[in-house]
Amino acid sequence: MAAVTRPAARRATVAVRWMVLGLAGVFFVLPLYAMLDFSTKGVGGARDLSAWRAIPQDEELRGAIVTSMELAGLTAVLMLVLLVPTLTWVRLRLPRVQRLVEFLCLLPLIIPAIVLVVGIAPLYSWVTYVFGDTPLTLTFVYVVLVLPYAYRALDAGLAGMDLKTLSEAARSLGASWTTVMLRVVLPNLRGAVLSAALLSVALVLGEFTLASLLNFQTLQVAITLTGKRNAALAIAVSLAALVFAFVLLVVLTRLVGRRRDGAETLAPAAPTAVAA
Amino acid sequence: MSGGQGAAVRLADLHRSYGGVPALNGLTLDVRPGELVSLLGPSGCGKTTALRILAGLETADSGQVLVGGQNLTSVPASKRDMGMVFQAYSLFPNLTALDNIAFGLRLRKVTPTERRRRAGELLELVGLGQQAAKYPHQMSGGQQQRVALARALAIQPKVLLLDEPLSALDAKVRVQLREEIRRIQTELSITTLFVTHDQEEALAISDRVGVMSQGRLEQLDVPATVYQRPATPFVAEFVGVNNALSGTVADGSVLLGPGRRLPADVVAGLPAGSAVRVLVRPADLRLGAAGTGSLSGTVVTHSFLGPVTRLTVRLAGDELVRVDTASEQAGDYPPSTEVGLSVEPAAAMIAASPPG
Ligand SMILES: Nc1ncnc2c1ncn2[C@@H]1O[C@H](COP(=O)(O)OP(=O)(O)OP(=O)(O)O)[C@@H](O)[C@H]1O
Ligand SMILES: [Mg+2]
Repeated sequence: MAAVTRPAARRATVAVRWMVLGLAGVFFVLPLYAMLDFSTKGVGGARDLSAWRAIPQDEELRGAIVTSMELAGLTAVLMLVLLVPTLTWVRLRLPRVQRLVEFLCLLPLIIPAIVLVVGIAPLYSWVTYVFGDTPLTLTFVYVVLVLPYAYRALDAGLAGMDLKTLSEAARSLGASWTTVMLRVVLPNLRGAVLSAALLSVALVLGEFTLASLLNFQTLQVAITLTGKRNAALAIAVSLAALVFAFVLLVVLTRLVGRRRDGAETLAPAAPTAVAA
Repeated sequence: MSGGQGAAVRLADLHRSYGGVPALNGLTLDVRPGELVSLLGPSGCGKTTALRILAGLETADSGQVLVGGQNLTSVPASKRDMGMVFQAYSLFPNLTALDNIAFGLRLRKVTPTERRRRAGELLELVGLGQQAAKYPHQMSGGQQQRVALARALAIQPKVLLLDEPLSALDAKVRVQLREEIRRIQTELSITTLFVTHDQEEALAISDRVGVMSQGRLEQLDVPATVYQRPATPFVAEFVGVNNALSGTVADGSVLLGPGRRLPADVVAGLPAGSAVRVLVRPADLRLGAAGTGSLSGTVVTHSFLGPVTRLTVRLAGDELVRVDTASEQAGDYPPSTEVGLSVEPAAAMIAASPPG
């Protein structure tokens, strides 16, 4: 698109931009404000922080928060361990199955959670037998759940670098495949790895259906239960979780952003001329 | 810098095909220790494939790779000690110039101080002493390829492999950098295989030039010989002999047309009456007034190349030939002028016509 240079038109675009931003802001901020308002409402219009103070005191909630955090961390790590080497290998060595891998990774998007649970439930009797009856076994389902999003992020990252040339350069300099992975692929995939991890964490912290159906006490399940006896507390925790995810997002984006100044994608080599 | 790292390289009868289509078709090549050999050939003739097989990045269907007498056929790329510079920019984007160069040393467990020192030395060698802290995206293409060269040299490789390292650069940088590559290569006397499809580049910097076609070597010789005595019509065409005149052999000479004889003593072995092609460089055809010389035709176009101007001339038999003439004289032969052409007999090559 050509740049608009006339001042009047320019002012108009700026105005439109602010309007869109404003509307989006209202759309997102208003519910948050309502949550804040509701969770701090005291008798007779006074502000009252008792619901917020109750968060760390509520045994059940505290346990659920810890569980969800652990789940988020485990899921992100397991997802990366599975996906990064696989996608790298497929791109380098089996480009023909790339489509298939993409399809498999995107499958969880179109399979409803309930179907997933029905399919997984019998497996879970075996999983709990091996790993014990801990909510952390949810990690396995969650890895499947975050697959499509993590795949997209990592795939974009891999597509953005000249994986073949870089890995071959490293190999010819004496790097084993493990070294290629740790010293070449990962450092240059930092942005993508961070966004995949972030998406996983956010998804896990917000997931309710699977945990509830499989009967595990995670944050969202606990919030729902709490909501039945103390609505203000439930709202306060929800808001806290949202703010946490938001802060995480900002921090990670910062980290990635700083990296981005330092490393642009590779300049493409000029096409080889054909000598006649 | 340590010198004399040269190892002899032998590629023996390499075959490699992709989906039934041969990329290498019995390539055999010997490179002497410390020698720079260029592999020259058109796009798709297998140059990169040969280099990649030598580097261990690709496996041959059959044939052998020997370096310093040692059979490397089943040694993985990471254990071959070959420095490779790629056509595409291949520096690690997350590392500075210095750390890129030190990468291979780090893998070889060289101490941090020592590898900084050596990487610094190599940066100086490629003329980038001031750029140590720069990241690849902060450097020009030429600078990046210099760093890539330094990185390849840092591991003191047995063989240096360069796969069209200059093709992404503009003409001026290309000439400058190829001379530098040659200087460094001579200084370190490192066995080098240099792939290019630019004949001028190959002839300019090589000890020997190998011309490849369809997965095999057509000729391997010193630049002057390849240029002056191409072994096959293909090589001739590739080193700029791009006029082919059809003629017939007649008692010790070639008949280019009715009454137009080209005295040629090189028709040995060809029976009288057989069809041949006379291959000749544009610079070895002489322009003259109509009626002179052994050929006649009409000037079609001019293209100014600096000291010479290249004219296209349509011969009586409708063939087009290119003729180079000094630019000051080109004005005497504007388009549609009738001209006569003579062939430098010593410069012409005779090749049997392909059947059909
Ligand atoms: N990985 C591959 N898969 C399929 N075909 C390939 C592959 N690599 C090379 N080829 C084919 O092998 C032939 C030789 O390729 P190669 O890259 O060696 O040519 P080249 O001489 O380096 O050409 P260029 O000057 O264009 O780089 C080509 O026909 C190419 O299409
Ligand atoms: Mg090539």
